Amino acid sequence: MKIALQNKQLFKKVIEESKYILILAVISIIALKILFFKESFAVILRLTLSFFWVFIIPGISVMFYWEDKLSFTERLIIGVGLSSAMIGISSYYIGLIGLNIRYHVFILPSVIIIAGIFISSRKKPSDHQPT
Amino acid sequence: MENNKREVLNLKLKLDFEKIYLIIIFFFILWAGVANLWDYKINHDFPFSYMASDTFQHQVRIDSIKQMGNYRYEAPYIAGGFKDAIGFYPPLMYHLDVIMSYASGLENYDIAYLLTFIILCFSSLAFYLIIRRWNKHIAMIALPLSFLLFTRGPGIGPYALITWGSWPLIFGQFFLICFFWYMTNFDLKYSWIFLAVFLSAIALQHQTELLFAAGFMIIMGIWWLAKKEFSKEKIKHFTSGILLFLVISAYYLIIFRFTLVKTQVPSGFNIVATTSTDQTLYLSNFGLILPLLIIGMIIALFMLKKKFSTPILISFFMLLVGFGNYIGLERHAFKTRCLWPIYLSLFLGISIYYLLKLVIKKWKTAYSFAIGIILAIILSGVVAIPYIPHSERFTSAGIMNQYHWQTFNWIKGNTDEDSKVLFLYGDVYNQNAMLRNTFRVPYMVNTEEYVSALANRTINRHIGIYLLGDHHGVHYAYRKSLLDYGYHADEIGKDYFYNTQRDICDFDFIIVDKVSSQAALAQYNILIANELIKNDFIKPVFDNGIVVILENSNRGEDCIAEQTTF
Repeated sequence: MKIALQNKQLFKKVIEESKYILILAVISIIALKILFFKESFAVILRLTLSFFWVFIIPGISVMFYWEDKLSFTERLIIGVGLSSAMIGISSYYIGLIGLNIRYHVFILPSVIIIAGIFISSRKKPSDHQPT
Repeated sequence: MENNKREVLNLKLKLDFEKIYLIIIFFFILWAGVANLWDYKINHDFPFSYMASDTFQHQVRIDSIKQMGNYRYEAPYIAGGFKDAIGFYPPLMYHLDVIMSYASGLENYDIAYLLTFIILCFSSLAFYLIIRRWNKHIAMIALPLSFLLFTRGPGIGPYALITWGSWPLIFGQFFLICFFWYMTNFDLKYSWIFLAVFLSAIALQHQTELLFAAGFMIIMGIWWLAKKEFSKEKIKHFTSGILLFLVISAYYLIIFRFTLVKTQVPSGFNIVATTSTDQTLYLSNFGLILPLLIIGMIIALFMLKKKFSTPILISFFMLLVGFGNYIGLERHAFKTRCLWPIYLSLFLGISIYYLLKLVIKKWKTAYSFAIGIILAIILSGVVAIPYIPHSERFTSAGIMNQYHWQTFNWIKGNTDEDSKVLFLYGDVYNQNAMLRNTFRVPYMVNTEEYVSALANRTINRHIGIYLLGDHHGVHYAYRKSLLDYGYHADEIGKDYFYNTQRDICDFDFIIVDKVSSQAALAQYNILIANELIKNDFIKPVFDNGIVVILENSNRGEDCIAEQTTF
């Protein structure tokens, strides 16, 4: 019952923050179009979406575990550091194992996003305490 | 109830105010850094604004990883033709670039450059968070100092850190700032994971910052020991993080140990006061901002004495690292100074905030917002004020141009992988990493010998020809076993690469620049080309008005006399 309630709250929070991310994506597209006004809209759209796919969404998903301690802004910015570190490192090693880098763009962000959500959903009430 | 609602609304407005500010500054910095430089376009027909060999070094390696699918080995055209040279360069950024290239559909050369700028902007924001944890207003006022990341300076300024290709350092500094952020948040549960991930990222990106991180941890450890705050929990926490870091990084750190570390001679504790070859920043370059920084430092010292503050310690620590040129850190210290606009921004924020607090008793976020925007306008150079430095604004295509890019692409698409390609003299070829864009092992005439032959009015069949590649101090290392490495360049001898007379007839393709800033050299190129095409087996196969490619379909056959005079 407790877990179900917690997951419901988690879902609500995810939806809320998804809206923020969506708003931020729209702002980014507009801002980049102003900055690079000679560039086509399609290029800017794809660039923005890909940046969000590779850096923003995986980062904020993993950082979601600390959503009760860190603000959305903080999780977003440090999430970029976390996702770039995790994706860069794992891409290097997975490439060495033999999985061609062309597939990493789909696999790595997906795995990190799913792992982030999974870990947050498994968070126990006691985990809300700092060490 | 009504009051509560109002409070909630006020809080929300305040938070939004700050977010709006961050968004504005983020894109403003991006505009100042890259939009102008790139002529307000993202897609370019060739590597645009590439201003030094290092930029091409990264760009080609990214291309090669994309081509090979991994970074187990260096591509032969990067490694002097060797097919077993180990991929030695820190790989993290390259992998991100390739992934983003696939995701965005942009050329590697565009996305790699753009991503560096974006990461630099995020570095500023991450440091903002560190200051913010301590004081939001100071953080907001401090942020615009980042515009000075794009100054050219009287010497080689910080802007060249990007335009000359110190991209790995920029990524490394970003992870170092993330590490500093962790140090201000290590009381979060499981935050040792941040420690492990950020240290690993630095290890796989730019190891100099690993030393800085270790140094900072030691200082913090000493502080905690002195204060008797080094609890068992802290020891357990740091041990967990460091162990995980070692597990993650061990494989690459072994490669690093047998390549970049092994072959670089330590400079000792040389004291070097200035540099004419490295990108750097001197305190005097801050102009009228400097007095404010000094006031901020003095106030910060008093505050530090009163109450410990990690952000203040971080700023002072990175200030001292920048002066590491006096204890042997040399270029590492000089280059770190380029990031001072981020690290010292705290002092600017402190001085302005506390000076204004003398007259404004009740501070509001709107004031920080307004001051931040004014500073951004001044430091970005939108409104230039004498003696206050500002970011430079210019558009430059850099070294590359469409004619040479066409040439490289032609070779890439129309020749066999093992073709031998010789470059005669070209103005841009001294930044020789760009030649790897042919995806063929590049050979280039020794310019000194070439000029000397021209002066003697002779054409020589055998002439000094370099076999180029990125030995980068690692001598084309290859792995015999996990902990046993060989070095091709040592085994064959360096003369083979850089001091060998080679036969001009022993190449499949010869690249001839018809235009040069030194007309005599261009005419000499054409003269040689005319001699060569007297053979029916040597023909021009490509000509774009600036560059001609000759194909020798009978490689090794006599194609020219041993010495011809003209």
